[in-house]
Amino acid sequence: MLKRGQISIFVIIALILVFSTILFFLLRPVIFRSKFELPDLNGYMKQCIELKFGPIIDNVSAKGGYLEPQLAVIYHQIPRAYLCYTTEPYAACEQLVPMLKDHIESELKSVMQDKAIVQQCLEEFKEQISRGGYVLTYSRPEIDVKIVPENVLVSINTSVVISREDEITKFNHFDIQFNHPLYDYIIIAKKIISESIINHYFDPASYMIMHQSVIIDESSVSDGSRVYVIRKRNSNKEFGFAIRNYVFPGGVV
Amino acid sequence: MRNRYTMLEKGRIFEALFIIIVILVSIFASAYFFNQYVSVVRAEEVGCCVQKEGLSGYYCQDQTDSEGCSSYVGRSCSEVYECQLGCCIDSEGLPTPNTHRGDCTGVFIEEDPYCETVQLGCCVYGVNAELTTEQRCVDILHGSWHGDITDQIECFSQIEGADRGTCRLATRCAYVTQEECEELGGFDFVPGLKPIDDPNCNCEIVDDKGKCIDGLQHVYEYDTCGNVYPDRIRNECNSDEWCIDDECQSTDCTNVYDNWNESNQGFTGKPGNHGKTRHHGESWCVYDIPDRTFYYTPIGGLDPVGSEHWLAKCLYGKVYVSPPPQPYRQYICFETLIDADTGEIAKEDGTPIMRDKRYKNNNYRSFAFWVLNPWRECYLIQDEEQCREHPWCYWVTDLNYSAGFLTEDKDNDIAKWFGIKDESLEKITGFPGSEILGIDEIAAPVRCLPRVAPGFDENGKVLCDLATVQCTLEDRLIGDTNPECDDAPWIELMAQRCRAMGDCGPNMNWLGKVSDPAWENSILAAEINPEKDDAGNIIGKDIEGLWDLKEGDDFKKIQASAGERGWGRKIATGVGKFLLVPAGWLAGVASVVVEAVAIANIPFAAFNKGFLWKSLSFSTTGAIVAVAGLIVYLVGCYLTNHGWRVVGETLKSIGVGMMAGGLAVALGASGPVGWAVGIAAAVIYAVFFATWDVDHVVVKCAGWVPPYSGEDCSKCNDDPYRPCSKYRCESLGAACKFVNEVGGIPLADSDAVCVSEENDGQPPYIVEISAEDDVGNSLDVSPSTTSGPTTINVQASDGGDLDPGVPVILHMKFNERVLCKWDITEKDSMEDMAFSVDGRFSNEKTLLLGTSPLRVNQQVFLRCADVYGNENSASYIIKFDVKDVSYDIFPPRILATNPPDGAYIGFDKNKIDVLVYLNRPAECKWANSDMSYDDMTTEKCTTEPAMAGLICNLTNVDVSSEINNIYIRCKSSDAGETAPTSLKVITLRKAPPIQIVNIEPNDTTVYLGPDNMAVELTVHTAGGIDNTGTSVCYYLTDSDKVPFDTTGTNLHKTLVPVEEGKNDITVSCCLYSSCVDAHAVFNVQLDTVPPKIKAIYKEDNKLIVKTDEIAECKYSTESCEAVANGETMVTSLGLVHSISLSTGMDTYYIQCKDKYNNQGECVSVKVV
Repeated sequence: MLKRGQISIFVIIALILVFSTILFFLLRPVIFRSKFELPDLNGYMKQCIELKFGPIIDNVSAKGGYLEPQLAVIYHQIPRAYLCYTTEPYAACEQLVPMLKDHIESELKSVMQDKAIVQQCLEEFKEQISRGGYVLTYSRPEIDVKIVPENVLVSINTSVVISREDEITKFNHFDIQFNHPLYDYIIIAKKIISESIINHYFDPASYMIMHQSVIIDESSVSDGSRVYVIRKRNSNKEFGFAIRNYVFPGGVV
Repeated sequence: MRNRYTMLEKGRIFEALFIIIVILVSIFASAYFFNQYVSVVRAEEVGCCVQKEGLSGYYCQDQTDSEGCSSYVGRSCSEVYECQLGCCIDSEGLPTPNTHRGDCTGVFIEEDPYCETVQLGCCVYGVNAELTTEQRCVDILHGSWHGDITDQIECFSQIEGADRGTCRLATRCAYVTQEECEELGGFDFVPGLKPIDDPNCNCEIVDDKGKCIDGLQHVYEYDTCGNVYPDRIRNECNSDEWCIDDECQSTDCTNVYDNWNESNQGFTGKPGNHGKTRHHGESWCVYDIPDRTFYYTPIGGLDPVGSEHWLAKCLYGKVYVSPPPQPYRQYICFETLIDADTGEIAKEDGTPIMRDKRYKNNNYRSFAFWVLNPWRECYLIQDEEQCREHPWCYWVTDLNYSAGFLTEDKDNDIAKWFGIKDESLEKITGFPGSEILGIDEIAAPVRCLPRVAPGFDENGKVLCDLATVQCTLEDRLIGDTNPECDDAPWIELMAQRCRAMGDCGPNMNWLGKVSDPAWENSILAAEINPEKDDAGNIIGKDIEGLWDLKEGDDFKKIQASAGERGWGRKIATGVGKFLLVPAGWLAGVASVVVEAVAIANIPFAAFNKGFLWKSLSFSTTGAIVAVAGLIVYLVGCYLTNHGWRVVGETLKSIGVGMMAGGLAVALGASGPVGWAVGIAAAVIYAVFFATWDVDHVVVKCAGWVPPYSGEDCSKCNDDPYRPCSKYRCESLGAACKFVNEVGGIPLADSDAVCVSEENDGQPPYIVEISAEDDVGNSLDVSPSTTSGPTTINVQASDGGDLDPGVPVILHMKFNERVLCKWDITEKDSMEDMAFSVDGRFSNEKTLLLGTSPLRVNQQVFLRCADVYGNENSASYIIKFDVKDVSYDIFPPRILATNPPDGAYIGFDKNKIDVLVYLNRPAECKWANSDMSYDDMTTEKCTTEPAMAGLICNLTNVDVSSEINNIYIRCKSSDAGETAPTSLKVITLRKAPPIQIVNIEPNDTTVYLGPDNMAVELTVHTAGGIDNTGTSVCYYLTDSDKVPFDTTGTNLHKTLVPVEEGKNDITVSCCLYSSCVDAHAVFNVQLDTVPPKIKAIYKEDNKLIVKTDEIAECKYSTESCEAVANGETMVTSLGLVHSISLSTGMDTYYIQCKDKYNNQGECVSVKVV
């Protein structure tokens, strides 16, 4: 009797263990899900896009507004785009990118779209939250880049839906702000070009003496072109470009 | 060592024939080539590359093919709507000059590519100020705009001077002006109140080091609301400090890079860091070899090949060295010294102090700036006074090298020598390099020279030819014409002139290296005389003497040959002096004897019976003798003009004697008197008038040739302050190569490197040779490829002989870059060969032979060397098979015209002269339609020898139509009516008129200080070729037409002296010698109004003074009289001045003066 009772107890315990185990495995996702904390998508996107897009802004800025300039001069191992150019001797250069701010905004936007930076960030986030049972879907992002004083603003419109069972979170808009003196650089570059056209020559010293926060580095090119690199004294970000203006003809250059 | 003097054998027809080639190839044929080139270029269709691959906007550059273009149209960009240039106001309100219409998405202003109609004013926003448009200021920057302030410095002074107050914005309080507050959408503006003092703003001063404000010196306070206070100084910087990185930092530059020479206490050292200190804001020039600049030599003109000027600046404690705006010494660095006390140019006895005195007075500050090198202007000036008045030019007679350097000595013998040149001075047109100078015509040789000789690249070296000189000597027993021309000093001076042109002649590079021996004689100085054929045509020239000219080791003295006269001339002169004088006497005696026979009727047996003499009277016999003398004289003339000069002049002497004696007797003189008259006339003619020898000394100026070497190439990369360039690199050695691109992308000079080519140790060889005549017909060349020196035969394309008189152009390709020389006799080495092919290293060479007729079995010897001087050990022998017939059966060749085919002419020209260049003596006519030579009714011209070859000047050619087709026919001089003629048709178009679209100042009042009575005139032109407005502008004075300082494009600028009151200046802008005039009418008022003190107040233990204009204020604590020697008040931009108040001092005397030295009243201030 005692022996039969012991067996019964063992069987019951075994069954409990089996059921518990089955139950554990069945309920495990639910248990873990309840413990998974959904990261802040806004914060994540800011960090991700800053990481991926920040160097691109620096790069485009250093190259005169193009990621891969076609008509350029290499200075300090970086190709610097021509922003004003003429093939004619004794002639003022003609602006290649007169709407410089608009162009750079457009270039940055194109690069961001071509490299699918937003999609990359969302995919990475998607992968990350999938462990918490979340599902992320998003529409084709609409990107806008604005260059304003002291900052480059990236505005992303996309319909992001994060869902888990009944839990649904929606995002429509992301704003990322990059601290970058690109706006000031564009204004200075345009001043350099305008003065070069009107006065045949730009003197960086006369500008720097009135603006001690700015350093303008210049270099010559043997075909008569000139390269300028603008940098704020308190920044490691630069803007470089070239012009070919009022060059002398083939006989003496 | 090469012989200094080389005598070539006389009388070698073979040789003489070819010398003309040298002269004409170098001068005449180059003009021919140029014109051909121009014609070719003009004939090519120019299209417009509207958009370029890889660029987002419009590229709009004229080019002849569509390579690299994503959009290309077959017309000039000026005719493409999207490519029209104008001013574009961009989305930020910034005026953007020279913008293509197609790129502008903002406001596009047509016909104002330089945005001159856009009004700029001073915009103050926050603690910033900039000159910009009202639109940008108000809409973008939300600042306050002052349209009346157009000066950058005055604009900056508004930062400190603005009347700010607290402005409530939606999120914070701002410290701005009332206008800014309104633009920012603020409210409750309280003037004078700072946000930190407004308890409602909740702003507090940040207690750290403070902040810098651009353009202001000190460190300023800022608050937690983001406001910086330009009127609250946190940390006042000393006079030698400036706010950098938010703290006061010393701005002096130590151990600067300059030419300071410690041992000499001067500025003649090599560029480097010589331990000297400069102040913030100072700038100074750096030269590769300073003792060859205009600072060291009173004249200048000695800048070595490859050298540049550099401009260094000390800014905020760091030295920046700028390369010149354009390479090849197109810009001059000019330095002056400013007295820090007075702010004026430092002078000693009224003369500006030279820069080497910089360190003798610590109060001097150097200020350097770029000046466009006006070497082109110098070249064009023909008037001695005008040249001397030009600060950057000097007259050729100042080239006196005897003192070891160039000095200005107007009264030396050289002036006299140069007077000779007026004779050979002539205007040449269509010359090589005219496109570089931007003109069609120049008087050569150039006499007004630039103080900074420009650098030339290989193409620019053609300009050296403008210093080529030809002098004609007529040797008489007494009274030679131009006797100095074959003296060594004169030749030497011509060589100096050659070098002064630019990178020409004997010279050295910026490391002081000279050319190798074969090329150091970049000048050919030769005594050359014409050889004539039986018809009197010049068929060749004979070299009688050669001079070697080279840069000496001391780089100061160009050495001329010891030989001063050509042997030919010596012989001729000797004959003249020692043989022909007696001959003249004998001639006279002979004539008298004849007269005696006739006049005295001497009863010689042979003549006595029945002879004519008996029946003739004295007067009749005298007349017969005179007529006989005339015949003898004419025979003498004929012989003189046909190569028998000595015999001819002897006969002319006899003839003169006979004519004089005969006439004397015919007029009644007695026999002895007739003898005396005859003898005297013969002797006078023989001594004073007979030209016993005529020599032509040619000093041909060519470009400098770098030394054979690659050893110095890397030295170009050594100094980061003076980065290497193509020009600098290639001057260091023929083997130096500037690597300045990677994958087709150019490198900035600082990234590029100068390297040496590999030396294969082998001489070069011709890999391909071809030949053609002057109209492009191929000739047969055999062999057409070689592996080393051999004999190459040139024949007609059918394998037959060449026609005589046909120019032959040889095209040779070499296996490597080479320099070549040639001669008409075999020489042992290149060094001994006389003639350079083109004086430049290249893989391809073109040699033009036969502007004079080639002769039977003509040969040319050619040797070449590579960049390391590996030279052909033997000559290439190029043989020409030429028909043995007279070339008169062929028509003359019209080589070129000036103006050339396709050229423009001035819009108001109806009759012009057309110069026709021919290969041999000829006559020409013109017509407006094609017809035979005889049917042409216009006035014919005949060729004249000139520097540029044989030229026929057709006058009054009708060009009254917009497009004129001119038919020119020429035939050989003295040829019969049936002689063949050559035809050339040229088309000349009238250039559209130039329009003066804008002159400034005009219809306005200009304010000037009494010490600065000059106004900068700015003129814009439109119209002209392709509506570019390109033209040359002048302003007219009572006696002169003065070219603008900057002209030649559509923007012209110059400084014009003016007077107080109304000024009416006539401006004349010209294109192809057709000008339009306009007037600049404006009033000049002197600024004699002293600055006024607007406000004086005490703030933070400082006395603040505000003036109504930019001024300098001084103060004293003693009296008004002591103010002149008092301390200068601290100011950053001249409107707000301050001093720190001292304890115990309660009265301050203050006086201010403006930039024109107008002194305001002295005021006394009692501080309580």
